[in-house]
Amino acid sequence: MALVGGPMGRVVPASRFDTPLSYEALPGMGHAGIVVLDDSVSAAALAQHLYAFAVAESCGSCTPCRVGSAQLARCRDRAALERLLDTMELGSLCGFGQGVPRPLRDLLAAFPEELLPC
Amino acid sequence: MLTLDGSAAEARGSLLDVCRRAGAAVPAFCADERVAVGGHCRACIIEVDGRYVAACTTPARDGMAVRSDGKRLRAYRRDLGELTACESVPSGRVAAALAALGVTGERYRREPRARRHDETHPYLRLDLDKCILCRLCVRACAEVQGQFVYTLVGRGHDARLSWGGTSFRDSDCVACGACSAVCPTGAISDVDRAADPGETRVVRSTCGYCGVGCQLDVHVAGDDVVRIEGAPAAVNHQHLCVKGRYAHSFARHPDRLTTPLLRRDGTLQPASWDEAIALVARELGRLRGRVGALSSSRSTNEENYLVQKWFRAGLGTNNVDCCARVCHAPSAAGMRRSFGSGVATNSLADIEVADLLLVAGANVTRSHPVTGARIKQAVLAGARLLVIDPRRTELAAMADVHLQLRPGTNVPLLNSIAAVLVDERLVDRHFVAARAEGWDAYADFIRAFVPEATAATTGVPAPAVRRAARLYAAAERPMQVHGLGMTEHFQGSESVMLLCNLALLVGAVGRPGVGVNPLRGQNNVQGSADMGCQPDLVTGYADPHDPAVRERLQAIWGRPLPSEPGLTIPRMYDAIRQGGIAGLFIFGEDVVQTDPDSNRVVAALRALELLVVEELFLSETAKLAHVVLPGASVFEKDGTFTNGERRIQRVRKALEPPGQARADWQILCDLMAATGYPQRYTHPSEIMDEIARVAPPFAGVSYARLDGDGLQWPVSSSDDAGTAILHRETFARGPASLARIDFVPSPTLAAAEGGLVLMTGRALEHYNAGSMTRRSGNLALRPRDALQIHPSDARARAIVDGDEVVVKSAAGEAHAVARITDEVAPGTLFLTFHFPESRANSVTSDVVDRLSDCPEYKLTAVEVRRG
Repeated sequence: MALVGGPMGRVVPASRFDTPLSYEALPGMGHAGIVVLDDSVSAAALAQHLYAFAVAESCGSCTPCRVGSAQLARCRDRAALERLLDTMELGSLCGFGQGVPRPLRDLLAAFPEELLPC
Repeated sequence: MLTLDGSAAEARGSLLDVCRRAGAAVPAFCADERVAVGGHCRACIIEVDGRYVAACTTPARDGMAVRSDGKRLRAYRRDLGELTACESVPSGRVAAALAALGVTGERYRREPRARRHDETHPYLRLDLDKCILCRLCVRACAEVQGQFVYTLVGRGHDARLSWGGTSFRDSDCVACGACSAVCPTGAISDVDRAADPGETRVVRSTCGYCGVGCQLDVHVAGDDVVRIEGAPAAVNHQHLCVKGRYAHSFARHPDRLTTPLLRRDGTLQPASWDEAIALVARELGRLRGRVGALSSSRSTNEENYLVQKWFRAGLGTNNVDCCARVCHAPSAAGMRRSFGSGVATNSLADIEVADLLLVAGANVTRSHPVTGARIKQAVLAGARLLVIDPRRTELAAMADVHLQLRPGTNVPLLNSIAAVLVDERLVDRHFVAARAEGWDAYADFIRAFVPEATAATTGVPAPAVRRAARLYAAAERPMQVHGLGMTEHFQGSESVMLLCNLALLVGAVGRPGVGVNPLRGQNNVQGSADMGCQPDLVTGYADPHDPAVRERLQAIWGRPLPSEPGLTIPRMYDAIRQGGIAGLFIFGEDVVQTDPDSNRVVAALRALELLVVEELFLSETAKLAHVVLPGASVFEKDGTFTNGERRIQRVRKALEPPGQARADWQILCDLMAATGYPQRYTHPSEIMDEIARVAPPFAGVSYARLDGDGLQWPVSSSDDAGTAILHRETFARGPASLARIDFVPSPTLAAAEGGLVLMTGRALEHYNAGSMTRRSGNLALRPRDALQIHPSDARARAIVDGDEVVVKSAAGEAHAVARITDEVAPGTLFLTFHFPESRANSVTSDVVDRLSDCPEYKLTAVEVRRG
């Protein structure tokens, strides 16, 4: 799989590597930079990495991002995770908290079995 | 217009404002009208044209389609509430909002963390487990008080509220309470609100401390004040200070006087009201022609009016004065000579209009804290600031130019500023020609005072004076405020006339954002002077020797006015020594502690045949009395106070006076009746109705019109909305006077040559004699009087910080704790006078202002040593 446009960009699974690299095809793919991950990295590991990144980089100014980032890794089911992602996306003060859910939603869509429960 | 949930709504303010006006139930934890929006809590997310935005930070625009509710928003708000509840355990407004959202606190796992608790402060308690990091406290401290105590430290999940100092007690906090007032979670709370008081009544009233006149919402449970909040009023916009908000427990202090006391066999013993009134009446009758009164600037207009009416019409003497004599009598005298009217030309609201503030001889952030905070905010918002003060006060440290003059040299310094205006052709000649007289002679006179010529006297370098003068002249709206550093001097009245000169020279009178504005000290010192508690002027500043005034007053008072001139307070003491006065009625003033040269004051009071003191506590003065009458505190009676911007505001009764103590207007009515001058008032409003008939400036004042923000006098008729700015078209005296004032050094300056000079003044936490604030939690914040001394002077006397010191002058000795600081210059000392045991006024001298008899508190030749 590939992480396109950084940690708030889009996740493209290997099965969809034919996706055109365009904003139309990958809305919100962010800025330059593609990280390609081989089979040794699981979707769950990437998710954990993204959770840790969110915790480390949240500035703390607003509640959804400050508190939500730390709760991502603790969601026990898909519904809970999706609800939290929705809260962060809807309510966060800046593009960081609004963007954290983006690759996680891609992971949830592509690897529903691998991601949860963690 | 926009549409909100399908209905048309006005597109004004933020979308949160729109929702609140429409009554839409949008939660918001971190929005408060007192501070700018921050958008931190994210509870107020709403849908606008299909996008989700925070209502608080989104300006309303015409044509928006706004939805305040919906399935997704409801789910969002609940989840946001759960996130809020998982990092904190809020109480108060946020707890109620979370409950309304159905938040259980169980959705997310709480992270245990050790957050700060602090209970070191007598008034403010911090429990950061309740904090939701909404930052309202940070913003209130910065944007309301300008104190910047709070900050956030740490990032992301580690972000937390912090403050300088290990304990909160050691922080820079000035205990204004703005943070606690806005805190929505109880993370910052008032210690005096610890216990749930149950049902409370709320009484809107006026603060009884300084002359700012803040409006209070006094919360009463049973027969006690349980908390005070700042009211949304023109004067204070919900803000208060450490005295007005917290120092209210004196009202139920066990030291309160609860019965009349009569001196029997040398000691004061409880007596009945009948006995006390009869004794006072008999003795005043016996001493007729040799009596005088000091009225109370702490009490209401109505009571002050009664005191002077009683003494003038009832007892036949003009010997009536009040403590305006010892503070701003020079402002009244000086401004009267220059402008024809001795009162503030403008209003507090002009502080936000001015583009330059000249603060002269006033430590505003300490002595008038709410006005001081307003000035700080104006300066933080870009207004220029000039400060004239021998001390580097908080405002001086923020100033564009601080003119740190030697005490006692106001006249050469103010003249030198004027000389620069003339010298550098910065004078508004058009205004001067149109509105002032005496220009030609003045222009010749003032040239000798160029700052290069006065620097050796004032100690202020000439370039600083020139820079200050240029800034003052360059400002479009330069506003002056001044305090007792200008007035309490040998040439106090004349210094005020020089302030008037400066305003005249640049055309800064009679329009918004300018003027000459004495910061009146006591809550009602403006009113006690307005009411005629001064020997030479009757109610409304009328001349008691004017036949028309005499005729009008006799018609209303039913008695002729006395024609003998009356005595000021210092002259009354002289008269006592010479036998001219044998009976004195002192209403709510502790002259032993607060008048200068207290050894002479005590000697005079001891020589009296009758001393009647009406008081809340057995003050140093009351201890010398023959009769002590227990009066009512500011919470215990109805009436009005007039603040320093001439605003007459209501005082409303919240409590019953303790024991047999009574409302002072009722005591005065009894005394008047017993001395053969019965009155028929059943409520203070009837006294105000009479004042309106007696004095033209108050003709349109009645209690029915004083709800809300009161009225600024002059109020010429019942449909006159009052006067915010004086002298718009003409001055009361016709053209204003450009006064030519030469420097006549105080006799103290020669005596102090080569030695130390002492200034006295106030600290933030206490009010004057301290009788109220010392009986409150403020005592813990400041338990002693302190002497500020420069490190070099301290070193030369082997004094270290915290030492007990003795201050000695020709008049006496005072005791205090040394505070070594470079806020004072070498050679100058500053001493507060709040504690009777310090005997600060034992050292101050009997030198007075040449024109008004105001004592020279700001200049005493002293020596200091370790005690």
